[in-house]
Amino acid sequence: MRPGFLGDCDVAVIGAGLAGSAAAVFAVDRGLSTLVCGDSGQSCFASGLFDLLGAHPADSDRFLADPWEGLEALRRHCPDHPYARLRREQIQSAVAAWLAHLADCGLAYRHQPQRNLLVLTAAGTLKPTYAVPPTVWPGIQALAEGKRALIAGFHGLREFSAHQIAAVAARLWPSLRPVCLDFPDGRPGAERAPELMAMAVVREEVRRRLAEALRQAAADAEVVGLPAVLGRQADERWWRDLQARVGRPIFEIPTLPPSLPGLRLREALTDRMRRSGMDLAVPGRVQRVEIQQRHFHLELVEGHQSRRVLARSLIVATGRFLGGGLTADRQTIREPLLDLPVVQPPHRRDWHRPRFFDPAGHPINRCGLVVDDAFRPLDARGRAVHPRLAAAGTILAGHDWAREKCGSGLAVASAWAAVNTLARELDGKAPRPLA
Amino acid sequence: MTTLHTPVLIIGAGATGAGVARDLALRGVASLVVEQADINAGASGANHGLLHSGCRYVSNDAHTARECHEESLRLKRLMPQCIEDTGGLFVAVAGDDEDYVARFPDLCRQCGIPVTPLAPAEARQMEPALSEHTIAAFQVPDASIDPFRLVIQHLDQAVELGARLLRYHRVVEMAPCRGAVRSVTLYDSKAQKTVTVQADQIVNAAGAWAGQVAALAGAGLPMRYSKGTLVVTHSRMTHRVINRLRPPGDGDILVPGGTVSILGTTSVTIDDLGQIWPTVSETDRIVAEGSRMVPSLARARFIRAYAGVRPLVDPRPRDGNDRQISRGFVLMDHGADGIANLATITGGKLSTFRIMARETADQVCRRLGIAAPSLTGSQPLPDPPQTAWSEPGRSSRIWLRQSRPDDRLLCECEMVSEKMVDEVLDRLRTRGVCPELHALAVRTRVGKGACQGAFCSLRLLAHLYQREAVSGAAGLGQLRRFFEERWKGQRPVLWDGQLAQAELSEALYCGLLGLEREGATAFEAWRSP
Ligand SMILES: Cc1cc2nc3c(=O)[nH]c(=O)nc-3n(C[C@H](O)[C@H](O)[C@H](O)COP(=O)(O)OP(=O)(O)OC[C@H]3O[C@@H](n4cnc5c(N)ncnc54)[C@H](O)[C@@H]3O)c2cc1C
Ligand SMILES: Cc1cc2nc3c(=O)[nH]c(=O)nc-3n(C[C@H](O)[C@H](O)[C@H](O)COP(=O)(O)OP(=O)(O)OC[C@H]3O[C@@H](n4cnc5c(N)ncnc54)[C@H](O)[C@@H]3O)c2cc1C
Repeated sequence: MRPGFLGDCDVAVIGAGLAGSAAAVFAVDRGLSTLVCGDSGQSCFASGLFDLLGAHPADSDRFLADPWEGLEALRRHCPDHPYARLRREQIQSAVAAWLAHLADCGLAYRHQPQRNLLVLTAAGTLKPTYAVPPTVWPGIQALAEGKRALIAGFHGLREFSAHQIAAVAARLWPSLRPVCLDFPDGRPGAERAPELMAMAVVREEVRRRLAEALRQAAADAEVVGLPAVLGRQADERWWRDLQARVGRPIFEIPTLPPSLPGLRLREALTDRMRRSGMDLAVPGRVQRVEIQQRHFHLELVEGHQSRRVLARSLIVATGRFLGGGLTADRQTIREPLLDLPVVQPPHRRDWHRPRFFDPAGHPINRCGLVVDDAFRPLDARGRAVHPRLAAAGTILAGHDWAREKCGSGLAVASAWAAVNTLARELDGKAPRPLA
Repeated sequence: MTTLHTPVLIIGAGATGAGVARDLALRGVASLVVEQADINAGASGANHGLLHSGCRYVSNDAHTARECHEESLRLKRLMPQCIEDTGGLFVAVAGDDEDYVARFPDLCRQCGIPVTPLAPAEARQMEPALSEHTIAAFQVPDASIDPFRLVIQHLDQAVELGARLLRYHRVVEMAPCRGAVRSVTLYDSKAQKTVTVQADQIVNAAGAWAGQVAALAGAGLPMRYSKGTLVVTHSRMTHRVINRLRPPGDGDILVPGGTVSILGTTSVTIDDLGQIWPTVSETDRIVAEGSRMVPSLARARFIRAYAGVRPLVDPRPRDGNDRQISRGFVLMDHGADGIANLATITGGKLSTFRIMARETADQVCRRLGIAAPSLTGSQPLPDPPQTAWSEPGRSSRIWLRQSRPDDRLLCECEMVSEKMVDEVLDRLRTRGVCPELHALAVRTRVGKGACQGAFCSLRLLAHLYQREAVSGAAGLGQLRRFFEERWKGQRPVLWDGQLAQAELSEALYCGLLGLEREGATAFEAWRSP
């Protein structure tokens, strides 16, 4: 092997966010040799909640209880939406495959196939989501049944106020009672970060004293809600242990990012890749991509090291402005790696609306890569740039994931479709049907 | 209906209204200051923060130039805590009018303003950010001034001495009766009710809104409005104030303050005072002009823009160049309108606010038959520590020095901690001001850094709930309003890094928290089985 040469593969995925990770998992399941380039920086930003579709049309004043009904409507109203390129069964298969994979990683997400769940957020608002980590689930049930709940915050955990949550949520969940406790790790008054609290929870002494305080405060509460701090890994042990000690169901509320349910998701994914013996992930940033007849040449830089990857097909899952998948100067929005065309409003003054919370959402949120029904980016003339070049995730044009509450679902469904396309296109490699 | 009585009613809590309240208070005259929003809601919270040396006006308004110079020396002595004595430069770049450059030093000297000529190379050594095309430079005694600390401390002392401040109270009616305004009606927008005030004397210090207020009393005051837009950089670009050495135009002043620099302005005549926000094209124009003096501005990161309105009192229509109208102030006694107890003070500038306040207070005292003289020309402005958190860089300096393990940062960009917020919060409570999100943000640096409030306003809100300063779902309304307010300023500067910030806000506020939908109707689908 030449120095700096990393190897070749059937599929190279650029970007290790949710879309890139899902694409890698699906590609491996298909028996394709796969490399994911990039760190999963942004995915630890996410909340760990799996949204499928929570609002349609984006400016409706109601959230959607039935995401599938919403998807049908969306297919009719928004033919340019990435979801509109997929049949219901495709989306169902993608979501099922992804949730099964997570369960396999030790993160058994819970959901109700036909209905969105209502989840309590760290601001005290409610929002619809499709699937949640097991530690969040008891809160969904308790809210649905209007159970008496204690919400416990901790001194020093700045952005989590139990009083705020109880006050704001009171209209829809009146029987919440707030309390603010000292976190029992022997450092009263100190600033708290969820990650450090999660490390402390592993200590039996901390759990014992925490349980004692919670039991005392709980009084007649039937369930107890906590900021998500019960362990760093996708390991239900500490949560189960605490429930047993408190004698009530306990649920976690995802904190602001980086939040532990998001971090656990990342840990579980990388851990699984490591255990399966495939060193799939290559850290670093892809600096350059060249398309040469048969192959994609990727140049990857990590620190001072520069390495090259040869790939027979490519998935671009580099996200939007936060992840660097799209960039903008004062005039134009670009896709920096391959200079793929980005549909966008004509002028910067049309990127954003005068009001931030305008129900219609900002036009810039819908800019991105235009793809065909096989999720292949199109060139300026409307033809696929390359038969084995696909795109997935939030970099796609035509959606507004934050307003439509569809971030994770869109990432997973588009990754599924992109992998299907490449598996079909890769010559000499018959796609293996999935079990 | 509530009726309040006061010897003097002051309308408007900008620099001028606050200045009048303090001036009167020091003479032992009580007043009631009423403000339709919060302090500095008008031009006093949306200006360049330049304490003028006067040099900008030497070519067209020698009187104002001289007045600015003398007053700036006095303010530097009496309220140094509000002023950063940066010094300033006037620079011309290749292509600028060399005739103007040649006349400039003499014009300054005629107005008594000391200027020192510098060789371009020397100027660039002092300020490495200056353009390599600099052809002339002069050193002048400009400085920057913090209008927030200024107004907070003026009102703080006035209230200490017996004045009262009513925020979110708009004057909606004045009934002139037999040659005087006997009663004034306020609308309390928080409590949504009206309040009546009976005052012996009334001061209309409503800035650009002064014409509207005067009209309520049936007094005519022809006014024109000139909107100016400014942009704030992410980091400080120069040590000194940098002025373009040419007749006043767009994007020709760069004022440093603490950790940032402010570039401005534009001057556009507008008809509607409801339309005061910065636009994308104004921002682009200022940046293009400014980068001719300081080229790195073309690539700089800007964290927000804002706009204010200069009231121009001038009965005659001009040719559209608002900068030709005098920036001097107008004090009217409305005797000609047949009203004996109303004074309007408007126009002018921040740099001369104290003079404006003194002359107004003189007139009020004359009418009240009070002989006590103004003391603001000799008495230093007190500097209680609780009133100083609006200063850029102060929180971080103190935070780093104290580094108390039991104090936590609520705003990481500007290093504002819980204890600092609590100090302001307690002070507000003792001053009878409701400590909602906006009130605290105006009085600290929360939300003024790179993240523009995305994280810190959530933390501040959580803290306010913890301190029982908010209850029910009201906090979310405060949060939405606060963020909408910051948004007006962010929108024009969203490219590169700030665009990613905006996307993070979108992900947090809408993606994660669903704050864009209000009320219970959003969840109706879950009610029906
Ligand atoms: C604050 C926040 C809260 C969220 N909350 C929710 C939620 O409640 N529910 C939900 O469903 N979704 C949520 N999401 C959204 C969800 O995380 C995204 O929809 C999901 O991550 C899919 O994004 P993506 O993979 O397309 O892009 P990203 O997550 O942005 O990932 C793209 C990755 O590509 C990398 N990259 C870019 N360029 C290169 C390059 N040249 N070389 C190598 N790597 C590169 C980036 O560093 C990044 O890690 C949230 C997101 C954020 C930011
Ligand atoms: C873009 C721009 C840049 C500037 N730069 C500088 C500079 O660098 N240096 C300098 O010295 N000067 C500068 N100025 C001028 C300076 O800002 C103003 O002269 C000064 O702030 C005016 O203060 P004020 O109190 O008179 O008016 P304002 O600050 O406008 O105060 C008027 C107040 O009255 C309130 N009000 C209005 N109507 C009512 C009502 N009906 N009831 C109750 N309250 C009411 C308003 O809400 C407002 O708070 C600048 C001005 C602008 C617009």
